[in-house]
Amino acid sequence: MDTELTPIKLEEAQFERISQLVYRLTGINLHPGKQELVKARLTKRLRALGLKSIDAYMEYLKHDNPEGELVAMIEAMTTNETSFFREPQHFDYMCRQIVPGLRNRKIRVWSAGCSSGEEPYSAAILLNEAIQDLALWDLGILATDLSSRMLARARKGIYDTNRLRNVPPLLISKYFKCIETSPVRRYQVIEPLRRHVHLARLNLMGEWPMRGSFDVIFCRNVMIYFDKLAQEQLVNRFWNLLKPGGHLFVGHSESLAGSPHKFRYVQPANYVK
Amino acid sequence: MRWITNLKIGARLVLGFSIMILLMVIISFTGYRSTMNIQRNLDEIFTGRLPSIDYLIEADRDLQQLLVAERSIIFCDTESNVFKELVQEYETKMKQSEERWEKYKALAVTREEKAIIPKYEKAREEWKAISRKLMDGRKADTREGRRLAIDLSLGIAKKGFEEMRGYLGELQGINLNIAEQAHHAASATYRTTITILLIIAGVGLFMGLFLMWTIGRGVTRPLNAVIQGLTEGAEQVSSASGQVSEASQQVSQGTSEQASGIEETSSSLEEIASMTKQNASNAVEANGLMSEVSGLINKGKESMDRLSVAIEEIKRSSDATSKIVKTIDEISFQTNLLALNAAVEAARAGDAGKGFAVVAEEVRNLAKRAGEAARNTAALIEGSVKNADQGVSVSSETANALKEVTTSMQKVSELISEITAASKEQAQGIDQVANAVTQMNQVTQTNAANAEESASASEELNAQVEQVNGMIQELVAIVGDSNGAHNGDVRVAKGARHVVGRLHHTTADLFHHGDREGQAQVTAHTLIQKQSKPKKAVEGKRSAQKDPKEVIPFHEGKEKDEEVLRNF
Repeated sequence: MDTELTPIKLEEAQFERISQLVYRLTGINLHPGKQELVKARLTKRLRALGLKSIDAYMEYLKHDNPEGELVAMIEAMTTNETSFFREPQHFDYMCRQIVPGLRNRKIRVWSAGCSSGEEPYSAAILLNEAIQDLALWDLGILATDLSSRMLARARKGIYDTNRLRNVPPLLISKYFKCIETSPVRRYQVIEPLRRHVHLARLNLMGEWPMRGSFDVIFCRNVMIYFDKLAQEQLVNRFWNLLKPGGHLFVGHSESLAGSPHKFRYVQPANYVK
Repeated sequence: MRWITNLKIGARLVLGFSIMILLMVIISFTGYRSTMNIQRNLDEIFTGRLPSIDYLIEADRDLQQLLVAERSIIFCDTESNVFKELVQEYETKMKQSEERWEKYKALAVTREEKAIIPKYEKAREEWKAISRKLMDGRKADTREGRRLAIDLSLGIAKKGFEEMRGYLGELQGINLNIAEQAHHAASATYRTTITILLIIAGVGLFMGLFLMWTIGRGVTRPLNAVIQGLTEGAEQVSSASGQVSEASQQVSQGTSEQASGIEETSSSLEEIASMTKQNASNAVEANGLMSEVSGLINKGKESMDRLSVAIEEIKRSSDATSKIVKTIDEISFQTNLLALNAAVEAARAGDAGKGFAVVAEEVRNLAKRAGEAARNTAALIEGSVKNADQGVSVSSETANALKEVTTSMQKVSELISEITAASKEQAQGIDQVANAVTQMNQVTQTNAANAEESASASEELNAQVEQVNGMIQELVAIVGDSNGAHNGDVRVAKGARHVVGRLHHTTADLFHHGDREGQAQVTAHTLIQKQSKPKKAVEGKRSAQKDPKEVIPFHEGKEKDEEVLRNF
């Protein structure tokens, strides 16, 4: 009991080492000012491992279990904020402007940084709603994330009512089935919808095995954790994987303005190749 | 001349041109009038005087020829052809001179001429009559006739002829005089016209120069001022738009950082909310457990009471038992005495009593053992009475402890209730914070959009400044290079733009090559090395791509992931 209540101290040098490590591995930019965040998130790991100090944790990370703990630490350091139909302008644009323009009944969407799956499933639901003759279509949604924990949740596709608060009841009844009622109602995405969503772990700063030709790439509120250099690299790599006329959707708090890129601005947070 | 500078450019131009037009009209009118005048004089000379003189001279010449014919006739044979020809010649010339006179008469206009004309005509008639007489005399071909002819011809005929020619000469003189007058008039007109025209031209030149100077200066000066103003304005707009662009980049950068902060906050909030919920439900469960425990404690208390009663009962039973034991002890003592007595009696009875003595001995042993057992039992009972007493005190202590536990539990229960209430409040607070974070997120998004819009607006501004600069240069070209300072201004504006541009680059550089540059270039491989040998320097080992697979072990199903990714 006592150990847990003892406040954990994060020295400046330790913060520096952790943040550099995270930056090199993931591009996530934990700049000065994020000490409290790093401390809070490391404390979770310390509690889980029964360690009493950051030094002990660093030792553990270095010698005892570098492989497993590195993944766990990265998972702890990532922020996985998402919700169904978040920033709906993009989905709206995709269904109204992009889908009608596709002549060969094929659409490839990539949700880069899909977290617990809300974004790719939102896309799948709205594409299902927008496309009348869906059976004739080749619909593929790639959903990737750095966090295996989040991917596992996305793979299950189980959400409670709080998570589904933005989903209209009609769509809930159409695309979800209730699997639990107590203590809270929990719903699972139905199998036919999950078939369209292909989940895989991918580090955006690493190699990409995809061949490309996406119609739409969602990379929303991901680059906000990266620094300018990493953002630029990422945007250029997205360019290479998009079809001509393909769209890149970034978060509405993000902007490509001020960094060199080849995209053409369409609307806020909406860029076309 | 202040009033001119107060006039508007249009009014100045109208005034200037009006003055010049007026001068031109005066010049034209003067020229026209003088030309007309000269033309009239020329008309006078060429259509009046020259023909008049011509007719007069011709008439004179005719008369001369007539005289020659008249004189020749005198000396010619009247029968000869020559005579006839000469008569013919005389007639013709007579007629011709009359005709030419008549033509002249038609042209004669002046009073002097009109005065001379009847004199001439009278002299002519007189001469003619004499000449006719002469001719008739000659035609008669008589000596007298010939003599008369000679006399006449050299006498009064000659006199009349000379008089007549004198008139003709006078008339010629008059006409020449008139022509000369006309020429003089034309020359005078010419001279005055030239003078007037030169004066007006001089005035015009002076006015023109003056107007050119005032109007030109009046137009270019404000235009130059406008050019300068525009140039300065363009420069300022350019630098302002540079600032806007820079600011919007900073806002954009800030927004991005803010957005990550907001996301982190809201994910933390979510965790806190779920913890709070967990706390609340744990508290409720603890409360439930507490009430269960309190029931159990009540039961325990009851059991304790019953235990006390049972122990008292045991104590009472022990007393009764110890009385019984005492009775048994007494009985065993009596039995021992009786056995002793029986042994004495058996000894008395001798051999017959031998068997009885053995029985008495056994009875005595039994009595002894019974006595010992009774004593042991008494000691045991004493012990158990003591224990029962201790049990009573322990059970009362336990009951007290249980009472205290109940009190504490009440407190715990109260605390749990407080925790539940606090958790509820906390949940509400978290909701409020979450709402605030949502609002902050919206603001952040709006900020991002605004930053983007203002960035594009500043780009647009820059383009417009470019356009304005083009216009300024056009204006400078129109106004002329009279004042080199404007070009300098444009150059300054250009320079300012250049500086702004460089500023852009610099800020962009600042953003792009922050302290993180290079760190990203460090390969994951080096990272591992650095992790294992932290003191080893990282510098030098750089490559464009890092391979996180080397560092981050992939979870199970890595191949499956690869397969999924390759399908896209």
